[in-house]
Parts: sequence; structure tokens; C-alpha cells
Amino acid sequence: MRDFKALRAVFFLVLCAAFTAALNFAFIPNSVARADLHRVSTETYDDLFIGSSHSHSDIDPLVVDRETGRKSTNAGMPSEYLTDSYYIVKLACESGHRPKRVIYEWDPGYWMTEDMAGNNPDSFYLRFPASLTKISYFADKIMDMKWYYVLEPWSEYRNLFKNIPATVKIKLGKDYRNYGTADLDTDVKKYRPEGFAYFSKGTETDSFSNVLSFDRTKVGEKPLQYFKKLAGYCREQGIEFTVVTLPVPRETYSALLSSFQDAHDYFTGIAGSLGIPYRDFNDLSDGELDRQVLNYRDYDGHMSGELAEKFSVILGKYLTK
Amino acid sequence: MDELIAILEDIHPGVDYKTCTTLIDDGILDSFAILSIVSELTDTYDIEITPVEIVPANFNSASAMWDMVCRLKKQ
Amino acid sequence: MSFLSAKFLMFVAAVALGYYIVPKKMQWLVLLAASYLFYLSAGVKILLFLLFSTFTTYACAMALDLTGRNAEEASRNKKKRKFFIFITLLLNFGVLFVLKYMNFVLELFRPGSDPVNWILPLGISFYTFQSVGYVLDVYWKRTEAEKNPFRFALFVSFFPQLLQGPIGRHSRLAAQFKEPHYFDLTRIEHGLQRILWGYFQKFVLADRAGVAVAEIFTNYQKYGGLTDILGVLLYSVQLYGDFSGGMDVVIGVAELFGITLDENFRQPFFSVSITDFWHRWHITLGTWMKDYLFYPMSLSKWMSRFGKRCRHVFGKKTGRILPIALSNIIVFLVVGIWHGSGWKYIVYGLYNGILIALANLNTPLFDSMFRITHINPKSRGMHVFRIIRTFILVNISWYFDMAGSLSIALRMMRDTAEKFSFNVLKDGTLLSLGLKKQDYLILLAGILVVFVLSLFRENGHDIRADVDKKVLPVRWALYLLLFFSVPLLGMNNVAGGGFIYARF
Repeated sequence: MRDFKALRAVFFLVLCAAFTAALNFAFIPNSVARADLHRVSTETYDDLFIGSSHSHSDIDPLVVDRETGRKSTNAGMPSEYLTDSYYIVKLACESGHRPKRVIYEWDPGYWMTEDMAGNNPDSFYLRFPASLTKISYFADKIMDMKWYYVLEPWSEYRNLFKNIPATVKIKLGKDYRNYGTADLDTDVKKYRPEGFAYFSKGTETDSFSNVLSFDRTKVGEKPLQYFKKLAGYCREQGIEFTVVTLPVPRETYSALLSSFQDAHDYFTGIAGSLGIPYRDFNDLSDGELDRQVLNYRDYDGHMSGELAEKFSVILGKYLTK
Repeated sequence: MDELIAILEDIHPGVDYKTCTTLIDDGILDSFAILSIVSELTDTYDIEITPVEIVPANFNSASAMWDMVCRLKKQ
Repeated sequence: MSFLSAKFLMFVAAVALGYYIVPKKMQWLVLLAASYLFYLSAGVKILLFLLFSTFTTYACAMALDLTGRNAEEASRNKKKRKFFIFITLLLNFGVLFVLKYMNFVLELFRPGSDPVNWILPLGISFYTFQSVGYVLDVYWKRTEAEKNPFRFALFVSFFPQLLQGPIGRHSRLAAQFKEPHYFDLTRIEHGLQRILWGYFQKFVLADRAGVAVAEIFTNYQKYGGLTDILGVLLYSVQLYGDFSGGMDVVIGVAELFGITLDENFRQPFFSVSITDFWHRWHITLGTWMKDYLFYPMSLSKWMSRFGKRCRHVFGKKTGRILPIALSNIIVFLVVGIWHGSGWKYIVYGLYNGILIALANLNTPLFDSMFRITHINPKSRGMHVFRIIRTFILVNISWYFDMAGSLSIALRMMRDTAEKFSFNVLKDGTLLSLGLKKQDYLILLAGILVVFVLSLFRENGHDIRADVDKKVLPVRWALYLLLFFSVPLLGMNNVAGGGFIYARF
């Protein structure tokens, strides 16, 4: 009798798990993180780009490779915070695909905000392949979140219920099974190989208000802590570690000149104290790169694909030295 | 004991103190009432009622209160 | 470790596993280790405060036990025993006072002084009261002194009740920790039911209502009239969902281990008076105050001297009530202060205390009014009237509890009356408070569910027994519905979002 009760309890749990799996399948859309994390854990690259949405739109690995003669990939993504970047590098190493060099794109704004559970706390965790890295990531970042975000990740996407038919169709398709991102293309953004998001020209001219002015007193403990962790990990693994800041529109730069200069000084100090090479590309002249805001998507600094390819050449040349 | 019941009826009328045995358990007497009763009993019978005595067992019925009074009188 | 996190659930599961694997005699050790591990996750420095309280109250109880083995010895050592109590109370309440109220006192005597950054150890208001209550119980021989320091440490630190109560009694808890607890799936099911129901109230109702409450009370200058009333009503929802929901989680977790904690809520919004409210809301705080402050103070020599003088001046009836009323006001002053440091908390306490005192002082007057008007005080109509009246009075008290300060509370009360207008129902204000139309619908539906269940309980139904009687598919459907309603309806994007009472 007792065994029957226990069996029933187990069956109930299985039922819950089945419902959860179905809801996850129906609600959780594809994301570039899935593709990026798959690439990073299954292919070996010489250079691994990590960082935020800026690297996502501004760095074309294929163009960079033409300059460097190496093989690189772009694992920088929107809402990727340092904790996430740290674990992406760890994933690459722990799955046997250690890169020779990691290039971290430093966006000052990301160090002043916290990766709060909200819009996509699980978006990286969910896409990690089953691995020891995933377990450490869970213990480090996910475990302290509300339990229903963790047990029922679809809850974060519950407002997307209208997209369920489309999501299911995509997930049953070949492209998704091959870790493709074709369904993520939009009118303004098309994914190119190796994680590069090619944006069409057309600035959102009212986007200036979204630009975060750097204030070193607002830098959180976590980003600095994980930056040091990342630098230390790369050193341990014999990985060359270098940092870049990508150039923002000329208009943005001059409007917030002192804040950008402060950001530059701040990070130069941090990098210097850790012996890490740092290049702030905001020093590029107009002759070297036409940094009019018209060549960007927004004042924050997300480049159009056209500008990104021009910049990637410059970046490639820098990385060759 | 009749004197005690008279005291109870004066402090909190409308209850059949001769038969009711759940004065505390049913919330008929609240803390104010209990303390009023204690104050009267202390004066009338010249006894000392400490906080330890204020338990349902001693106040659930008029007879329980009377038992307590008798016990405290001897001390 | 937040009670809301996945980590906490994993922690409870791990502790439960250990608890039912070890020999029955060692179960209490598993709970002790788990409780200290739980508290340690908050920081080593904070643990020192818990150890201090545990040690001082343990030592005091042992001293009381050694000096009072019989009535004669106790009488001989009366002064010494009183001194032990005095020192222990001073040390424990002293620490609590300094950490919680020092800044307020400093500001009183030296306005403009810089507040000191005292750490407030988690749950200090709760475990201090629980352990001091134990010492007094030993003094009054309501419980045996615990000789084993580790068993005592478990009583003080038992992790489910550590952060927000309920404030437990040694006489009811100690024996439970000594009993063997056998694994029982039905008990686990019941515990999980309760935990899930608690989380539902917290995530779906409390967090949701809290968004609008925060907006209205933070930006109070923008609002007034009906919006403030809505704020206060939603605060009722938030506070109940958070605290009572929190209690359901706490009591449910304890139940998993076969430990029964005292109930802290009993359909408080069905109260017929403020007195009744405090018998149904945060019950263990009320009973603690009654047993350890109200009765001792009311029965003290100076209070009885005051009583004699009152009877002399005001006559027998009023004179008898006055000292009790005074004690009551003092007790509620302490209740108010317990909730926080600041004038608004003092007023909150006094508001409750004075209302209760007035009600008791005017009982003869009310009785004559009923007689004259031929209204039956026990009629259904009167019962409903009393409930509504009490609900309004309680909601008024929330102004003091939730507003940023006493002056803001008073300002908001004035604005409620002066800026009253029904226009806010049409002009979009309600949708600018952080809640969408669907949020209001979810709140309404949730409140209705809670109301119906509360009504059943108020009428004596045992909801759990009713659920147990249902056939398996119906029970499972209920559980699945409840479980999946949390991720479906839980309020996302809530800043902070922890339990309100966990910061006391």
C-alpha cells in the first residue's frame, strides 16, 4: 500500500515534469544564445569575442579573420553580463574547445546595471548544453532566483502565448535542430555566420535618452569581481586575454565627453593593474572610421552592418599586431 | 461560590455561569474581562493571583475559578 | 537564503532527505545543523548575535533551574532569580534596542546626527522574543529548563520560523523535537499543499498588489482620494498575502518534518473588533504580549495601586477598567515599536491600543444603546456591520504602517478626504500605478478565492480534510492548477520582492 502511494507520488511528479516540458517547448522561443553556446562548445576557435550587444552588432568574425588569418567567433550578445561571459569562456574550455585568445568588449553601461531576474534571467542558462559548467552557472547565478523561474522557465515568456504556433513550428524545423538562427532574422537585422548580427542602416533618432552616462561610483561589485575571475581563469588556462571598447557615434561621444573620458581612465586603470591590454576605439578619427550617428542604429552605438564590416577590418588589424 | 457568580455577572453579564465550562476556550471572556475578574477576586477574597494562574484550566468555568480562589486562600 | 529561491527548496529537500534517513534519535541534530547552516548563509557576524541570545537565555534558564528546584528554594532566592531575569532581559532587549532603535533615539536627542549603520541580524525581533519568553516560562514554571544546550539552540534557531515567526513556545516545541518522526507521504503531501498555497498568495497576490502600493505611497504627492483608499486596500491584500502566505510556507515546511508550529493567522478580516483583530492577526505576537507583558503588568503591584486610586476617583466599574486599559495602551505602544522605529509606529501602536481601551471603557454605554434602540447585538446584521467597521478601522491604521513617516501618513489621510473624486475610476489613473487591466482581474479573482476559502474556514470547515476526501484525479487537478498558476500568474519584474516581515 505504501509502495503504491510512493509510486503514485512519483507519477504525479512525472506528470508535472511532462507539463513543464510541454510548456517550455511551446513558450520558449529560439535565441541567438542557443546557437552561440552550441558553437562555442562544439568547435574550436583561435579567437573568442565576448561582451554585450555592441559586440553582437559591431564585430564580424569573418572580416576580422581575413585580417588576422585566424578563426574567430562572436559570442557577445544583448543582455550578456560578465557573469555570463565568464561562463561562456568556461564552457568553451571545459568542453574541450579552449580558444587561444579571448577578446572582451567592455561597455561601460553594463557595469552600472545589474543582471536582474526579469526579462531573460534564464536565457543563457537554458541554452547551456548539459555540462559541469552549466551546474556551476546554476549554483552561481540561477539558484538564488525565485524558484518558479528556475523550475518553470517558460513563465518568463508567458506573454508570448500568441507566438506559440510559430514557436512550435520553428522548433520542429530543420534549421532549429541544426542550431540555426534563420527564424530570428527581422526586417532590420539579419544573422551572418559566427554570431554576427548585421543591422540595416536607419537610426532611431529618439534613442539618445537610452544612453547611460558612465559614473564610476555606480559600478557594481559583481562586474569587477567577475572580470577579475575571468582574467584569472584565462591566465590559468593559458589564454591570451585582451579588452576593447567599441566606438560610439561621434555625436554621442561629444555630448557625453567627460563621461566617456572618465570611463576610459577608469578602465585603463583596472586593465593596467591586472596587466591586461586595453584598446578604446573611441579614439578613432573620422578619417579612420566615419562615426556619424547615421551609420549607426542608435545613439547608444550599435553599428549598421556596413559600418561594422569597416570597423571589423580595423579591429582585425589591431588584433594582428 | 454564589458570590463569585454574582461578581462574574456584574463584570460580564449575559452568560450562564452555573453551567458554562468553556468561558476561555470559546472566547466568551477576553483578557479585559479576565483581568477585571482577577481584580475583583483579589479584592474580595484577599488573595494574590499571579500571571501563572491565568490559564484556561483556572478560568474556563465558575467552579474552576472557585477552586483556584480556595487554593490561593490557603497559601 | 531567500525563502523564495530555488536554493531554499533544494535546501529543504536535502534536509528532509537527511532527516528521514538518519536514526530517529538524531533527527533533531539534522534540524540543528540545517538551521545553523541556514543562518550562516546570511553571514558569520550575524550568527554571533543568534549565539549571544541563545547562550544568555540558556544560561539564565539553567541558573533559574538551579536556584528554584522547589518552592522554598525559589522563595529564598527570589532576589537572585529576579536579578538573573533582569540581566537577561537587559542584554537581549538591549541588543535589539541598539540595533533597531538607536538611530531613532539619537535623532530625537540630537537632530541631524548621522545615523549609524547598524546591521540588523535576520529574524532578531522573532528569536529574541521567543528565547526571552522561554526564560520567563522557566521562571514561572510553565516549562522545564532545557539542560541540553544543543537542544535549546535548536529551539531558538529552528530555521523555518527563524526569519518571520511564528513566535514559538518552548512547552509546545521542545517535546516535538524529542519525538521520533516517521516518513509519511500524507504528511508530506499536506506540508507541500500548504507551502504551495503560501507561495501562491505571495507571488500572485502580494507581489502584484505591492506594485501599486509602492507607487501610491512613494509618490503620494501625486495621489489622494480614492487612489489612496485603493492603496490602503491593496496594502491589506499585500500584507495578508505576504505575511499569511509566508506563514503558510513556514508552517508547511515545518510540517514536512512533522513539527507543528503555532498558527499566526485566523481569517483576520472577519474580525468584529480591533481586539478580535489582534486575536487573528500575527496571533503569536499578540499572545506573547498578553502572556509576558499585558498580564504581568496588569497584575503588578503598582498597577493594582493605580487601580485602587481609580476606583476611588471614578467609581467601581470605570475604575476597574482604567488600569487594564492603561496596560493595554502600553502593550500596544510596544507592539507599534516592535514594528519599527519611528513616530509613525508609535502612533500605529497607540491607535490600536486606544481604540481597544475606548471600546472596553464604553461597553456599558454600548449595552444601554442596544437596549434603548432594541437592536439585537447578536444579529447577523450587527455581525456584518462590526466586520465592515473593523475592516475600515484596520485599513486606516495602514496609513501609519506603510507611509514613509508620520507626517506623510497624516498628509495622505488629509489628501484622501480633500482630493476625493470618482474621476480616478475613469481617467486612467488606476492603470498608471504599475498594474494593467489583467493584473486587477487577477487580483480580484485571487481575492475571491481567498475570501471563499476563508469563509469556509470561518464557518468551521476543515479545507484540508475536504481536499483529502476528494478523489485522486480531482485532488491532482487542484494541485496542478495551484502549482502552475504560480509561474503563470506570479508577478514578474518585482524589485527586491522578499518577504516583508523577514526584515524585522
